[in-house]
Amino acid sequence: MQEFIEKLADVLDTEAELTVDTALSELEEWDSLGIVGFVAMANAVYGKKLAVLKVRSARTVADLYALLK
Amino acid sequence: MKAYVTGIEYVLPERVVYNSESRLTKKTGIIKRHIAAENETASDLAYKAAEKLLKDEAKKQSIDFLLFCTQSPDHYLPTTACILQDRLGLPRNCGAFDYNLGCSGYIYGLSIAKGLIESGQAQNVLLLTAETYSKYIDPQDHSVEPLFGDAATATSIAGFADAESGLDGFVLGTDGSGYDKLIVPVGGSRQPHAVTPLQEETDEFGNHRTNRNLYMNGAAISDFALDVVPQTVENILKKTGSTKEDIDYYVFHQANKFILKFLQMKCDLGMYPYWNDVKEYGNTVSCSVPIALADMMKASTNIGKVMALGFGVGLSWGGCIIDMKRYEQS
Repeated sequence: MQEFIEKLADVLDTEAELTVDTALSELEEWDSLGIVGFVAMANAVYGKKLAVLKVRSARTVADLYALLK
Repeated sequence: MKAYVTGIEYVLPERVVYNSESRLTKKTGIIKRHIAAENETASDLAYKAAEKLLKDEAKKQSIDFLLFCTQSPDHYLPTTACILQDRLGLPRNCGAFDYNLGCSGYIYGLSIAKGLIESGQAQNVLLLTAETYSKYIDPQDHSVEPLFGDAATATSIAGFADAESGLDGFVLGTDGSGYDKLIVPVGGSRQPHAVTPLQEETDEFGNHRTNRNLYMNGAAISDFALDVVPQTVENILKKTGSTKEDIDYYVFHQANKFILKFLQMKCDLGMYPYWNDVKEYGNTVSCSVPIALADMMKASTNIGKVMALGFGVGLSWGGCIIDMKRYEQS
C-alpha cells in the first residue's frame, strides 16, 4: 500500500501528504491529466486495464488502490 | 530493387506558443509548440519541407511518386498531393495521392513506398506528412491545446539493387471501434457543417469545446497505446528474426514524455536507446516519427537499424524496421 501511495504521488506529481483516506476531490492534481496518468500507470505498472468512468467514480486513495486488485 | 530511406527534412511554423511552466509541462515534457499562421495550411508547410529536401532540380525531376499524409487537406477535392506536384515542379509522370492518417501515418507511408519501389512501380518516392491540428483545437480545451503542435516533414525513399530491403518487418493494425476517441465530429459527410447544429460543452475539468473541434479521450488513447505497442514491438522482432539488441534505436510516435516513459517500461526497453523528446514541438501527429528520426540521426553516429512505430487516431497503428545505412545527412 505504501509503495502504491508513493507511485501515485509520483504520477500525480503532488506534494500533498497522501494517505489511504485522502479525498481525491481535495487534490488539485486529480484532474484530467492526473486521471490519464493514473490509468497509464495502472496499465504499465500493474498490468490492469481500468475504465475511465470507474476511475472517475473513485473518491479516495483507497478506492484507487482497490481498483488495482 | 529494394527501398531505402535516403533523407528526411522537416519544417515548423514560425509562430511559437510556450506552455506556461506547470505540472503539465513537467509531465508531458512539452515546453513549446509551433502553430501555423491563420492563412498557412498543412500543404504550405509540406511544400517548404519538400523544398528543403529536394535542393537541386535533378532531385526533383527524379521523383516519380508523391505520397501526402494529412488530416488537414486544402480542399475536399482535388487531392492536395496533385496541387503539391505542380507547386513543387515535380514531373508530370509522377503518381500522387493523399491519404488520411494521423500518428500511424508515417509508417503507412513507408509501407506504401516500399510496395511501389519493390514491385517496380516507382524508383524515387517523396513521402510528405503535414498536420495543423491547431486549426481544429478550441484554445479553451486544455486536454488537447497544450499537447499538439503543427509541422511538416519530407522523406525521400529510393530503390537500390541490394539483396536486403531497408524497410522491413511491417506490422500494421486497426481498431475502428475506437474511432470516436480522437475525432473532429463535424465537417465531413456524416455530420455536414452546414446542417449540423453547433453543440458546445464544458467538461467537469472546465475544458470547453464544440462539435467542430478536436476531441480526445486521453485516458482511452493512452490505454490503447499501452495495449498495442508492446505487442507490435514483439511482432516486428519476430517477423524479422531480430532481438532487441539488434536495434540501434527505438523511435516511437512522440505523443508526450510520460506516455513514452510508460511505453518504454511496458515494452521492457529501459536498457535500450529510446527517443523521447517533445519539448520543442509537442505532439506533431504524423510528423512526429520523421522529426524524431531526423533529430536522432543528427544526434547519433553509427546508426543502422531503427525500429519506428506510430499509434493513434483511427484507431490505427503500425511499426517497422528502417535500415538507415543509405541515409544522407543534409
